Amino acid sequence: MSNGKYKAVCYINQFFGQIGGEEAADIGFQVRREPVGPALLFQKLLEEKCQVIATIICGDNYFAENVESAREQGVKLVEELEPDLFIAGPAFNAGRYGISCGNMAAAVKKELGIPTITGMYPENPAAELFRKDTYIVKTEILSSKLRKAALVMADLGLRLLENKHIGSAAAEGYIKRDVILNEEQEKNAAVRAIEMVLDKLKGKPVVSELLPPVFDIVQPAPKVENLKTARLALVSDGGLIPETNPDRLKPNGSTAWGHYRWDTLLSEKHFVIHSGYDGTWVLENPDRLFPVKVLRQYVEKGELGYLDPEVYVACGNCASVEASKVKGREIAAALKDKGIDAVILTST
Amino acid sequence: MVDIAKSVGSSRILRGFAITSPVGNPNLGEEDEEKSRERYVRKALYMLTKDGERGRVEDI
Repeated sequence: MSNGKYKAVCYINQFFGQIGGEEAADIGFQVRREPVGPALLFQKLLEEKCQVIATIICGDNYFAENVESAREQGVKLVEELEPDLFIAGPAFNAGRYGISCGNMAAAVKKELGIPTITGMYPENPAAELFRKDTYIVKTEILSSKLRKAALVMADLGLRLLENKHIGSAAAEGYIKRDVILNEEQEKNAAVRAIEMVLDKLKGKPVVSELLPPVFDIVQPAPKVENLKTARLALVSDGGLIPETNPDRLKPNGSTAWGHYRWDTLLSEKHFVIHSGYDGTWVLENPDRLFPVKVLRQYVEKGELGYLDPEVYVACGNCASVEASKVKGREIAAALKDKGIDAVILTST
Repeated sequence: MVDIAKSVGSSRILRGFAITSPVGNPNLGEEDEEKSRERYVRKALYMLTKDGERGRVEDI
């Protein structure tokens, strides 16, 4: 603190530092012992409790082209200034500026233990890189909306500094950090759930309390050129397994999988461990899950090269996306080892 | 379950008969069910020989 107020340090680039545009993007670090550019606004917004004691300015290219050393230099400069709060940007949608703001905010927080805040347009590529390492307030695309972003950044920054409760990303206006927060709610879950259903029925907008995971993109495998020489295996998440369950599959939330010789599986006691669907039809005629008989006919007629005598089985009930990805990769690796070219995967 | 496969971005999705019986229609007599199973398998093998497209669902 200095004269009873918290000390804040701001980080901005060459453009906001009024040094120049792209032609000045190569400049190295400068420290001005006063608020400059957007830091003036932060000074105004925080004046009751904070004083912006310095503004660190650095060129976007200088930083982006030497991230490791620039980060080290930057952190050192902040360390010497000993602030209570560090504010970077906001970078809006600028990629390189986002990289430097994100790096600085993350590093200062991690290495100096100082609360940090920055701001970016959610689609700034740097947002995804740093959202878990620092608080990134959601901004608009245009830097003309500085005031709007600065208000949120200043408020959040001060509360971080004072160790006050920070709410969810949606409530506070920062980019979600994938941190699960326990918060006591006024209304219990039963009441909130009914209210959500009623809102939905009335056609009102409903915001989920929990957001679904984002799925990654997997390119389709190239097509099979010739079925007559193709080696095929059957895979399923329907959980049809030996009664002894040697691979310890679970009725739900299972991460295990197994592979079993089809003829042996059928001749010995077997069951459907998957508790999320009625296995009656499958048990009555397992070809409804693994169409082995039909495929063997194809092989006999010479229309399919080869059918793996083993079937690969997992249990898909309440399986998390992450766990499923792991199972998929593992099964694929095992099949590749066997020289399998293609798979028919059945799902219940 | 087709919607889930679609949303996750799977390719070469063939809509099965039912959750409880993906390949073949158990409501038919034995012979007819075999024929329906054959149709599913034939279509699946055919789809393997074509380029995959994320999220596209086909029917027999």
